[in-house]
Amino acid sequence: MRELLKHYRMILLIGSLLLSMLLLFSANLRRQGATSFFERSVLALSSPLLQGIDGAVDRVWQIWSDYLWLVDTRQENRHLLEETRQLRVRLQVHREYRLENERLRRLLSFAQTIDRPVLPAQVIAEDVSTWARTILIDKGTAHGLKEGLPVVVAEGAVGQTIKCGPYQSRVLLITDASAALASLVQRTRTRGLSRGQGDQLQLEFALREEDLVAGDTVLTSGMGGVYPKGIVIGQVSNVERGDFGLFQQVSIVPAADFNRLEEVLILLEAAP
Amino acid sequence: MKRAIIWLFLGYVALVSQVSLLPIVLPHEWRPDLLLILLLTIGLVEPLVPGVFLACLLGALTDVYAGATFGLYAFVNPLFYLLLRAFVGQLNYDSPMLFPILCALGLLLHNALLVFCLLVFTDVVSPWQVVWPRLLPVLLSTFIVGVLLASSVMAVARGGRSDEA
Repeated sequence: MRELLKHYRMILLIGSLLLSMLLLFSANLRRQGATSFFERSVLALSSPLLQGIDGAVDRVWQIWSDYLWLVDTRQENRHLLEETRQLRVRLQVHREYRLENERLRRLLSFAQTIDRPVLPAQVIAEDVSTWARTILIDKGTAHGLKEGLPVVVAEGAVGQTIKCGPYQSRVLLITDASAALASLVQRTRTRGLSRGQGDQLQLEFALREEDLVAGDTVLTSGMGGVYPKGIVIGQVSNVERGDFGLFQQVSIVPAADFNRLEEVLILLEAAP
Repeated sequence: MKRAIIWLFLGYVALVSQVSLLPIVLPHEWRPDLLLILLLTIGLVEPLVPGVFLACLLGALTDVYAGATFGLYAFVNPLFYLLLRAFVGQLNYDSPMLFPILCALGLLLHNALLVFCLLVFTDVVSPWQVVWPRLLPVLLSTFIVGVLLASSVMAVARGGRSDEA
């Protein structure tokens, strides 16, 4: 018997080990939710080691990726900066397009209220002198322009063309000291002559007894032969009546903002 | 002839800058009068006869982009040039503040001549009222540009004076 055990010792040992493992497995199949003492002990012992190894690997990887493996970083950084710059420029262009679109919509809806053919133009330059108020637009005789055509924006009158080249024209603004246009006060129907004074206008020949007040809207009267009737010139900002004299002093703030003129409409002559 | 073309080219550059580039970066009233600065430089550098013609041509060039009446600057510029030449021989070209002061005083004189001509020859009612509000800012900005350009302009002027002598 002893000889037999000795002879099959190895097989028996392995067999009993397998059997005990099978029993252990079988026993654990019935209580899967519980953690055995062995498992707890191994987990507890290996935890610091595993955490240490994990931390070290992380650290090494971080050093490698952040400090050593930077072959493409500079290139990528440059590429991203360039991309950011391009995106900023595109954003700016889109913003400009949106604003231009809004302005042109306003101009278009205003143009539809006028019973004359209109031509849009871009303001490309300003007057070189300090005393005159003129602008240069990008349309000229090649586009059907000639001297003496009224120029407007959605807010009101701008001026009239005074010099026309083939592809550019000069516009004398209504605020220029040599500009004068026949006017009409909307509320009282008082007639007068609006004369430019640099940044404002002065309503001349408004009789003293006319009841004009600040805030009254002044329109073109259509009498001068340049502007059609009813285009807004501006609003009365100040009225002064002296102790004597036939007329009152009336200041007008122009409706159009001449510091921000970008697009204008030229009112062409109606086809016969 | 070559010098005249250079002056006219510089005049055109100054004109384009003043009507198209400066309004983008500066408010209206703060635009320096670059053409006047150029005219003053010509006054200090060039002899009388070619200078008067240059002043006239620069004035005509300016008239294309200024006001409603062509010929105003073509008349005022040579007038201004002659007045400048009347006392240019008395000036101390070594003074570092000469050119900025000339710019400031020149601007006042030039505007006074313009206003005078507008009053006398055109139907503009009160040109001084239009000129006055913008005069101080333009004066300051022109003075500052004068300070910035003083050393190079005076170097050219001293060269021109020795040539004349």
